Amino acid sequence: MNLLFPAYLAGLLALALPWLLHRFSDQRPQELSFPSKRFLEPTAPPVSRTRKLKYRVLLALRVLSLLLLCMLFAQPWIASQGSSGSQRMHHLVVIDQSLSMRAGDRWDMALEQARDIIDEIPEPDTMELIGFERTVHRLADDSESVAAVTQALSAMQPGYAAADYGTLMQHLDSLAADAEVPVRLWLISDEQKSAMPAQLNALYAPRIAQMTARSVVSGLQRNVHLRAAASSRDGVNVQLSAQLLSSVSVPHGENAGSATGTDAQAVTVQVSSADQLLAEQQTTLVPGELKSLVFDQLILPPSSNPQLQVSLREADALSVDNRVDVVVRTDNPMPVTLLHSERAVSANAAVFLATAMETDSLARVDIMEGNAERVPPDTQHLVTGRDLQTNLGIDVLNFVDRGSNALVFRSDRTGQPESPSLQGSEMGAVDESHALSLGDMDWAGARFFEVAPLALFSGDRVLLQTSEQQPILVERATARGRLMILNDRLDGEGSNLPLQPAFVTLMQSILRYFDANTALPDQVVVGSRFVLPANVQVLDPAGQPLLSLDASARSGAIELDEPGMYSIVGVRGEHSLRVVLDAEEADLTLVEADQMGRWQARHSVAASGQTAPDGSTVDSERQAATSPLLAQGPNPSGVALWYFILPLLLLFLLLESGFANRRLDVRRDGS
Amino acid sequence: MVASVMPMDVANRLLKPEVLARLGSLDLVARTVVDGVTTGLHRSPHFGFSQEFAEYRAYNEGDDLRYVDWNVYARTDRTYIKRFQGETNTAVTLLLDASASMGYGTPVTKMRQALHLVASLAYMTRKQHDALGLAIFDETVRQYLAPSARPDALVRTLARLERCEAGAGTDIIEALGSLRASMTRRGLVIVVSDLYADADELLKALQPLAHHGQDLAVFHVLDQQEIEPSMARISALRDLETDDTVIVDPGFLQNAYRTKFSAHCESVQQACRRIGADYTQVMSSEPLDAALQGFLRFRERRGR
Repeated sequence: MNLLFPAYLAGLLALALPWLLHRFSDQRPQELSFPSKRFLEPTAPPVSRTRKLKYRVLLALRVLSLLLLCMLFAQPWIASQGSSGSQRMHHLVVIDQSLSMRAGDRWDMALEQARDIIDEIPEPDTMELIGFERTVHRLADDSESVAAVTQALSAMQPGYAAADYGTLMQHLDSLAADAEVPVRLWLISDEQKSAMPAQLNALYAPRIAQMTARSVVSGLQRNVHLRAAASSRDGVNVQLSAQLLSSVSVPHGENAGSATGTDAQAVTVQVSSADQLLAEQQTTLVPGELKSLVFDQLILPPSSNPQLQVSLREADALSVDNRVDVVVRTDNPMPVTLLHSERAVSANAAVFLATAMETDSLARVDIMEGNAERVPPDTQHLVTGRDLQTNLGIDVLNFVDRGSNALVFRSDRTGQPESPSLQGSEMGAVDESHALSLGDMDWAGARFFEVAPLALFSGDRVLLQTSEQQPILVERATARGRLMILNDRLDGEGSNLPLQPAFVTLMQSILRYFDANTALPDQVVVGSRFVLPANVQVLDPAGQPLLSLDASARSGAIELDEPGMYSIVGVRGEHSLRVVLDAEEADLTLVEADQMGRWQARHSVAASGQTAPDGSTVDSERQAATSPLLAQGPNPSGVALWYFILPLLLLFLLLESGFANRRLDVRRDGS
Repeated sequence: MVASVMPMDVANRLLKPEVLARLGSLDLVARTVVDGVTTGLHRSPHFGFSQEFAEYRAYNEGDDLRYVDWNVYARTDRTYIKRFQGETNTAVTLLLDASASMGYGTPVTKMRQALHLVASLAYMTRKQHDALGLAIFDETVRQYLAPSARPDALVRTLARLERCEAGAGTDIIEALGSLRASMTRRGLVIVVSDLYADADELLKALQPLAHHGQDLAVFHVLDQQEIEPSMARISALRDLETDDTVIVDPGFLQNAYRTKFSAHCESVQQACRRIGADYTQVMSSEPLDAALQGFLRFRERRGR
């Protein structure tokens, strides 16, 4: 029998507690008043002996309960008879290809160790080469020849994405489920702490019979991860903030507390533009520290490309994250076109709309005449008045189908009631679940005196309606862009809606809702997916197009696997997209040795029967710390004993409670 | 009168010992108990025939027609009942055991239950215009009021009872012996005690009273826990009267003790029967109505 957490056996010291209680507890009988001793007789000695015997049974129950409790925590298990060292196995040689493997000589060591493992695998066994970072790549197996595996190994390169051990272990578990022989896992990685969950037990793959982890970290390695952002109000004066995250990896077995592992490191941050140094700051960092530096007196040199380069002067183990390109963000108001296409539109409406949208410089409203086809291509938001009795106009629908957004309000006076209500209707139902947050606006003062009927289509979502159930604001379902219909002339006569404070909030909320639909991100983490609009091309940092002609015509998700400054070019111009490295992946801190040992030991039920190939960096102590955790599924290599211990413990606790209540007159409810 | 309009179920509820204990005033307790017990009796047990006229009273349904004064009816055309003072010849002496053992019991102590009983008997006695006397004793006689038919006899008796608490040890034999000389007038002697005495000696103590012509009634006040103790573990039981402690086993209390105590009660009952005394057990947890109704029947049998 093996124990997963033998340290919990220290809890057996608690066995002294019941013994002490039974030995030294106050055994004097309780004293009670009684009317007269006339008919009483003193207790005879045999009664006392009986009482002691009963106490011993209770003591035994308590001791056994504590013993089982400690065993439950220690999690014993026994190896099944089927697993033996001479059995034929399938070997999975898994190599970490994440960004951190680029640090120092880790990748070279990984390849060397993989070759050693492949050479040591005995003849009848089979093997498969697998690489992983965010996803898992099955590269080659020896169904053809070992040389094919070796060749695939030589072609492997480290990536830029972060490692995902959860996905890896799930994938390997499913591979092991399909295997006909026991599976042994060889994991070659840098044992990066930030890539693993807090509890490595969560990475348990029950179908893997044995696991051996190989660390590729040799010698102390430092890294400082750099990230930066810059903004400018006027396009000239720039404020740039840089964040520095320091980490260090100390191989297991070396003294982590030595001066080399924890002392401060001097770091110099340089800001430049087109190879011209603009500013420089120096600071010191200790491992694990996150420090921010601010450059607030930068002048952007005149250039059509507002970019800055931020870099570290000192070299470290991972050089790829020592330099970032930063696009200077300018806080420009979003362009909105207010289109005059019908004469019936009130002049008041343009004033009300422009005032509301330009509040707080949220938007810049350009008023123009004509139809929507004349709107400049970089305009993504259109506001126009139309005759809602007939149709919205094909030009507006085409504009929306390009992925843009339009707000259409009523311009016609037809269909109005003959005698408008002097009192008016109040605002009725409000769709509070919509992203416009209409429930947060104050509609108490809004009155609608002339509300013309509006023909609704299937798929229309009524967001606002009067108390007489006349729709006021409707979102119409479209293929790509967003289309909103405001059933009001906005002249201040048919309703007082444009005069209400809520009107400003409503217009700004609609604009932000529109902008969220069409805005492209400024920055994404390498490897993450984001949705591209249609009719755009993506250029990599070298200026080469990434999408085929067909792919660029359709909208869809894209993943960018390399860091750098990309460009998204479309009809609305060019948009810079910065793909940055994952800061957590750049943290080189190693996971604790005992955690790593327990994780692999859980799979290593037959470790004692196996001979590890030479060059192993795994501590022998890890092999000794064997045991499975509470198995969530079937475990072909070991049987967890908690199934038997838990009901036994419950039974003993029940018996103890019964004995105590019956014999000692103990009331557990506190009475 | 409150109890005359009180429904029976309410009266019975009020007669529970724990309810009575909360009333506080013994006077109120006595009225509540007695009126609850006597409500609904067809024939009034209060007044009987005697040569000595007491008063006239309007005829009520249920009154004995023998006592209608037909002369008055002939003169006034109204029906009156003649009332006599025959019962005032009876002197009722209440002997209350106030020893320490009476301080035992739950939900009320035997002492509290005995006080309720004695107060009720006193109230009942005065309602019938009998002379009322009281003796409170433990090892000796602590209080003694000679039987008196004066109007304030009940007030004086209740005042003594209000101040009475369970005291020292008990010696009922010695107490009865010293009271014997004081009780020269024939009448009714009512003993309220837990009777922790030898049955034979109790017989010897009561016998002279019976021979002297006294009618004897014994109320044996008991608590359920002293009849059937239910200790679950070995306990040290401290005698309330002597303060001595005896360690006893639950097994003994469940078997031998109960047999002994039951035999004691039986022997006391037999002793009472031998001298013609009426014996009634009163439990501290049970209402008093059964005991009082038994007492009324006893008086009717004796014609007093």
